[in-house]
Amino acid sequence: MDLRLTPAEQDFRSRLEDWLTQVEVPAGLRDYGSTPTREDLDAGRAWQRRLVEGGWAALSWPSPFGAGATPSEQALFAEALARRGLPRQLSFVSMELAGPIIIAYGSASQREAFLEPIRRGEQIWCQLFSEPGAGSDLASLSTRARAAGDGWLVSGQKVWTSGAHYADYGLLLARTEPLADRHRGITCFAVPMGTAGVTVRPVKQMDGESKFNEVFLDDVAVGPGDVLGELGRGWEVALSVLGRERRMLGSLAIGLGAALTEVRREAERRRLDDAVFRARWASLWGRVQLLRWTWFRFLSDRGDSAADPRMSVLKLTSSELQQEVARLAADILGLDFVYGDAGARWRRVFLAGHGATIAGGTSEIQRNILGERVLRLPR
Amino acid sequence: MNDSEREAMRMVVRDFAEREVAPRVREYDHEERLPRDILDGMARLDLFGGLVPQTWGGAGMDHVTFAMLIEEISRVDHCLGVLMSMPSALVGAGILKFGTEQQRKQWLAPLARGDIFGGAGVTEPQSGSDVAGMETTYTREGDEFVIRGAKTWISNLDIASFFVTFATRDRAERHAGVTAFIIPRDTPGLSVHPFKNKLGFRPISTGELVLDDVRVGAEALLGEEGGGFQVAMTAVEKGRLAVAARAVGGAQLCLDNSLRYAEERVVFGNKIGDYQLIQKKLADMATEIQAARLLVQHCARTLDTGARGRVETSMAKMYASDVFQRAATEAVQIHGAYGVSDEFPLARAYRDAKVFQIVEGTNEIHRVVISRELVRRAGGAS
Repeated sequence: MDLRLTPAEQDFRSRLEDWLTQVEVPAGLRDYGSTPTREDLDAGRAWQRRLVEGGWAALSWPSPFGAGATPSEQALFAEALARRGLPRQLSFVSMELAGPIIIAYGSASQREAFLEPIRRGEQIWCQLFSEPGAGSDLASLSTRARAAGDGWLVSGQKVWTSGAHYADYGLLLARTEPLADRHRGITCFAVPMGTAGVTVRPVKQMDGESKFNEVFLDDVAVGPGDVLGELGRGWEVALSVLGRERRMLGSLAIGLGAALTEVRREAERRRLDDAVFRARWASLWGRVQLLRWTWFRFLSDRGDSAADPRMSVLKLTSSELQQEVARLAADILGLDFVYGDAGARWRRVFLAGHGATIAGGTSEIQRNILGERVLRLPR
Repeated sequence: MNDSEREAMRMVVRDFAEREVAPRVREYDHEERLPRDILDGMARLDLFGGLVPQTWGGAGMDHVTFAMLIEEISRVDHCLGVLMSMPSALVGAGILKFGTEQQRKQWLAPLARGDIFGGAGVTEPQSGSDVAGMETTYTREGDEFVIRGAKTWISNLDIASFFVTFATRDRAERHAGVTAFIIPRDTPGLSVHPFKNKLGFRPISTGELVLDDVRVGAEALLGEEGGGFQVAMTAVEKGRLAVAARAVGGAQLCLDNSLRYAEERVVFGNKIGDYQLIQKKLADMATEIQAARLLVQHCARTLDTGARGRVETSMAKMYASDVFQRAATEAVQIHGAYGVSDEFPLARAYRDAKVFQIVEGTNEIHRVVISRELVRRAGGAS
């Protein structure tokens, strides 16, 4: 294994650094994570346009749809933007989930209708997967698509849908064959969110922001042209989406490293120089480095690793580290953590951080995947 | 008080909390206020009387009962536990021990009956809780005292009729210069500035108390001039006992909800409570909560003997709040996305639990207190 950069990668990095030092960052742009709030949309759209102009949009998409960058180049890009606290795209779900799925499973006309608008930040997608009774156990979903004419009428409820309140399209999983085995009979649809029968209700999260939504589907009409992939093969699409979600999580290591440096500065400002703090800090730093190198190892495997169960290591480690870094910050800040400007940023990390060990498959599920499918431990 | 009497009182509190409080917590937590009618209901049950002797309007409880009832109400909302503790601790204890007959009649008795509420102000923006380093000063002008300075992290800003607060006549005198005062809320020059959108403890109105040339007479003096440090220290252990009891109640709320959810939620064809990763969380949570509860009881018994219980209260506060934080973290995890949603009580518990580790002496400070005291005792014995 050679983890050094190739000449091509070195060139990619220096072009990127040049661009980043020159580009005008839109006013009000913040590192909002994978999903913008409604208030972030204007700045996020302007940023996506800059990325398009610079040739940095849709790096992970193969050409001719996107930039066709190698996994290492994607990693370099992710790290460079994380270091500057900039989002990598307008919306993660649109760019990294919907886009690649449409490329892999979409028809020619679907590719035509969706890919370029997504790349340009003109079309936002949400992921209509989780339901009140089906979260980490996604295959137990019960939203039904009943045959009607040459299409279907979809009824059911989705929940924890990030960005549904402003999305243009939803990537929907629904059961087209209710009597089939739980992994079969699920179909993936592309649904315009403005279709009659779609009702979106925002849910307030622990951190006070509303990125989540409940989405109610009441006889929503979809046609054969809205099916993504094959009828009854939606589970395959879903697995590919979930794997992609996990693959980029290793890039959080850079953000975590930067956060740790800030925690150390905060401790220095408070003249808090003791062995207990140093030990906790150093242990987290070591784990952040390990996360980063493990991510590099996955990337250097090349191939399509999206469905690789080992990817759960990235999800498990990055989400748990995020919480521990926030807890260390809380202990350093004391009362400033509870109220006031000094702790505002860390309060957000602390409150949003807990969602990370739950969303996209809980830590418990990741441990089961690693135990059963990677380590082959007895069940 | 015997065990069956205590148990009967606990049931009264449980019934009140479940019927009157539980349906409304989420709403008033959002509104960042405590509904007055709930406080009035608590007053009718004599829940503010606590440790205050019956002569002064109180319930004359022992510490064990006091802690038990505070834990019980905290199973629904620990912020009401703050209010229950104040007449016995932070606000009332100094008046009981150092107040004049008139002050006890005017302030302590209505406080213990729940007719009025009070606030107490020690912490300052610069000196924190270091009483000897405080910057709020006073000067004597004839029979009057003129106080100027500012306090921070003062609770009950919205409902307090008076504040027990502290000022120094000369910072060079350190502890010996500090004097305690009882200042009615409507005194000219006194103003309050609540913090909004705190991480936790949102129903409690907390913030700054500014004293801008506040003029009070001799009737405001609590204890002797220069005796303020003793007043401030009177209630420290009782206050920490109450914090620890509230943390146990909060942790129990997390366990109660988690047990219910583990029975309800089905994934991969089984209730989540059937999975070992969830069973481990529930078992650890329950064991730690019980250990914290016993530590609180031990601390209460120590205080009942009249001992100061410095190490016992530090251990109880530190351990119970750490247990609450772990329980809240696991409870959110067990509830999955519902745990992160603001519509379930776990998100609130998670925010509040973190604050418990910080207030009433950070847990780091308590670890230092405990180990220093133990090392000192060990040295004394050799």
